[in-house]
Amino acid sequence: MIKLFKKNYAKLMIIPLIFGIIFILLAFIAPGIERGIDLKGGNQIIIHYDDQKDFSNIQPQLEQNFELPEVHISETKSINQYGLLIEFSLQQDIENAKEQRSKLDFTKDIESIRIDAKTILAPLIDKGFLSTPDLIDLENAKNVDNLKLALNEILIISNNNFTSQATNIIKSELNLGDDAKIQIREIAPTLGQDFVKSATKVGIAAFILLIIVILLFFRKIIPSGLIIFAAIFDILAALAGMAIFNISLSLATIPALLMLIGYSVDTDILLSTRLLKDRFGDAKTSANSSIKTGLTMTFTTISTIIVMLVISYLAQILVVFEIAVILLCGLVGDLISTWFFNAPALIKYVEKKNKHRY
Amino acid sequence: MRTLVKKPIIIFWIVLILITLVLLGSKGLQFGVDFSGGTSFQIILEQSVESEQLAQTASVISRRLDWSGSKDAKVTPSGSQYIIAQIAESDPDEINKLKSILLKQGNFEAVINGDVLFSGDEIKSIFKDPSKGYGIQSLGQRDSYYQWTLPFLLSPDAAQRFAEMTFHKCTPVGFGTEEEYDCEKTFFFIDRPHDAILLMDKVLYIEEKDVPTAPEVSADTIPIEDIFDQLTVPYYIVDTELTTEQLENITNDFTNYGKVIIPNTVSEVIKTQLEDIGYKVIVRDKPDDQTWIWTATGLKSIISITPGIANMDVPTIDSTRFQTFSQLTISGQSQSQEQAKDRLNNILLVLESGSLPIPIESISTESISPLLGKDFLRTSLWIGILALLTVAIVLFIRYKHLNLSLPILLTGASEILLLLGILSLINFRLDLAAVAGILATIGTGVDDNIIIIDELLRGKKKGDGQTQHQESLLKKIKKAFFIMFAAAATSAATMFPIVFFSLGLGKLIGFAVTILIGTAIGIFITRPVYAQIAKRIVSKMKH
Repeated sequence: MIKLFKKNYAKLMIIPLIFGIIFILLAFIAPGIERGIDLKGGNQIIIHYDDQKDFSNIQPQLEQNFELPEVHISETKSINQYGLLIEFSLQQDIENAKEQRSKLDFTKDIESIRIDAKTILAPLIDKGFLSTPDLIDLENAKNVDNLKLALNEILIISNNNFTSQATNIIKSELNLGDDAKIQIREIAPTLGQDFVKSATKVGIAAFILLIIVILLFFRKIIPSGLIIFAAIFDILAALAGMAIFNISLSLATIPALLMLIGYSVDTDILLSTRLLKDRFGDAKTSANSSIKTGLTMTFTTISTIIVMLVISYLAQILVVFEIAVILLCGLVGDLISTWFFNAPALIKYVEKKNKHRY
Repeated sequence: MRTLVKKPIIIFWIVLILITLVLLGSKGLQFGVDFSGGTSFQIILEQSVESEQLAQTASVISRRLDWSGSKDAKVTPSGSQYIIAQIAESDPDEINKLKSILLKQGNFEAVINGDVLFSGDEIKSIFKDPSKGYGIQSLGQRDSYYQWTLPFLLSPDAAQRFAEMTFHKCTPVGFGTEEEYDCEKTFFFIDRPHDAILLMDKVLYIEEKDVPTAPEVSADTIPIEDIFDQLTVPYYIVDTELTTEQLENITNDFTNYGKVIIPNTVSEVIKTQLEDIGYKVIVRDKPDDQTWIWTATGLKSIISITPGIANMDVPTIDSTRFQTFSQLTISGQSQSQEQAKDRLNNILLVLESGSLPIPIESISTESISPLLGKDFLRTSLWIGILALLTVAIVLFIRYKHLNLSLPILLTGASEILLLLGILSLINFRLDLAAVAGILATIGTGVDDNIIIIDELLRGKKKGDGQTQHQESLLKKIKKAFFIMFAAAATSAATMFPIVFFSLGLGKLIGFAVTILIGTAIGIFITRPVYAQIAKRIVSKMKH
């Protein structure tokens, strides 16, 4: 029987305080967390292959051919599986052209708009993202509306050409055939912005609902506040883990953070229920008896997550690996928040209340 | 054991498991792009629209993908300005082609004898109003024929031209008292090639010598030349190599036409020759369920004119005497209501030039090659199985009682089974996010069962720190369920917003949906089942 909570249990609360500060520093100051491709827009290519390959030329090739400001390449390998994660930003000339398109004056007569449109597209032809036949629709457009559509279409085609040229460079550098194990994602910046917006909404809504649910179940401000505080602490722990392991904030990691709330508050709810509802024994014994149950819960969960971690690492499934890391860090954080913060604070609360009763 | 089986909840549980097994065995599971390979397009429209208009835009996109030959495209509207389209294709070049097809506004032309009868911008309006005849009618009570009708209004110029061009374009046939006519056909095109010549190989030409007059293969046929006659551009039937004459003509054509449309069966030699001349070569694959010529020329429908429209009852050719019809109707018959509706919608879309009600702002894509998808699926299975085994080991170490830990595994496995059953029932396409959700469900399920056992075991062992065990089993179970309900409610609270705001355009819905369904199954079915089992085991241990 573990007896964590003895006379001077309140001193335990210093531990989460220190960790909390460290987590905040890690997550928000240095090294901090980056936004992933799906939140800021860009291209991501994941390739799996069986034997080691030389990929050192890919980065300079991409940078030189397309003047890309950002190219990230990282190799991952496990026992018999190699993986390459390549992320590159949008092509600047194409983005400039899009920008200029939005500033075009469509009230002018069609011929001068056509000339303006061609001027915008000229650099893209120079760079080889467009060829003259691609402009046929622009030449043939009979009214301004068609011209607008044609220009829009040509810009997207130029971006298509850019990504397929980039993909082909990567494929030929790695000697990949048509049956390559490859995943290609191309996220438009506007979609990324929308994702950020909806993720923010989801985060806020989830937190408000969480507060409501906990208040409904426990109906007491302090114990409810403690559970919510523990949830925040767990998320901080996970964020710190993301910062350390260089996992970016993305569509896969945001739900993992939310799921963590559901996972981690289990033990806090168990603890609060036992402390508040036990009719027998004092708060300290109730807390001590909860440790065994709580630890069993957390450790079974952690052991399944370790399975997830190891297998996704071996098979190089990045998304699952990232989710597993986040959950693991969060649950370790939960051990700290539940047993070194929530428990002592609750014991204090219950003892104080009982004192008033007598 | 016998008394246990009589408990209603246990019977209910066993029945549900059996139903699920049958369901999974017969219907199986559907897999999303993550596992089957393919591409998902995330399309953003320029502005947000009403749900009805969004659905309409989605159906146009779906139809365009159909026209391009992508089968089984799954197109779903999301929110107020997004559309997600999933297809099985994952080749980057094909994906780029499809992207431009999605973006392009079509150009509609109704053609008779190679001349334009009327074009998309001459259609003043299309009456989608049943009082003007629009819609589907059942013909007679007994037979299963349905007539669909689509009325539309032409501009005065076009109506005049229509009347002149179709005048007396029917020839009387048959010998009966009632006059019967064989009328000429009009050809409806979207993007009939104007700047591209056509080139097809002999093998394909012979194969398509007789072309069906409707997209369905069972329809009447016409010679392929009838379709060639509708084109304004030259066409060539080639062998494996170009003859000198062909080469010369094709080279001359280049001054007027910059592109050439070919099927993928044309030889590489010819392809290179064409590219050397300077042509932009457009390869159109032959769709499985259609002829190449329909796809390559953009032919969408063949409609016969009627004797009435052709002014057959007006004997003179003096154009002031015959009637011009500015309001026209297209109608046809189908064997089922569904077919009729399909045909009607198809023609409607063709007349509307396949245009999107709202322009597209951007298209994002995510594609996974089928081989990688297979890897993902295999790995997910391994994670699931090993996770369950690990749980079993940990629980055995902790409780040292097989009869306490084994039922946890059993109910846990049944929970996943029931969850998969529901996913199959609602036709949910399983993806990586959903698998992560299922794994999470295993985790919470086990946690909850630990709470049940520990609550039941509390105060049972000596030196447990608690000398009192006055609390009844029922009370203990009640307390355990309070904890589980609170935990389940928090999970639901954090997952519900993902569904509500459809975070990630449906990409993550799977995650939230599996957790929500899994939690519900757990709380209402598998946890009560485990509580019953555990209660029996614990009370037996007492004696």
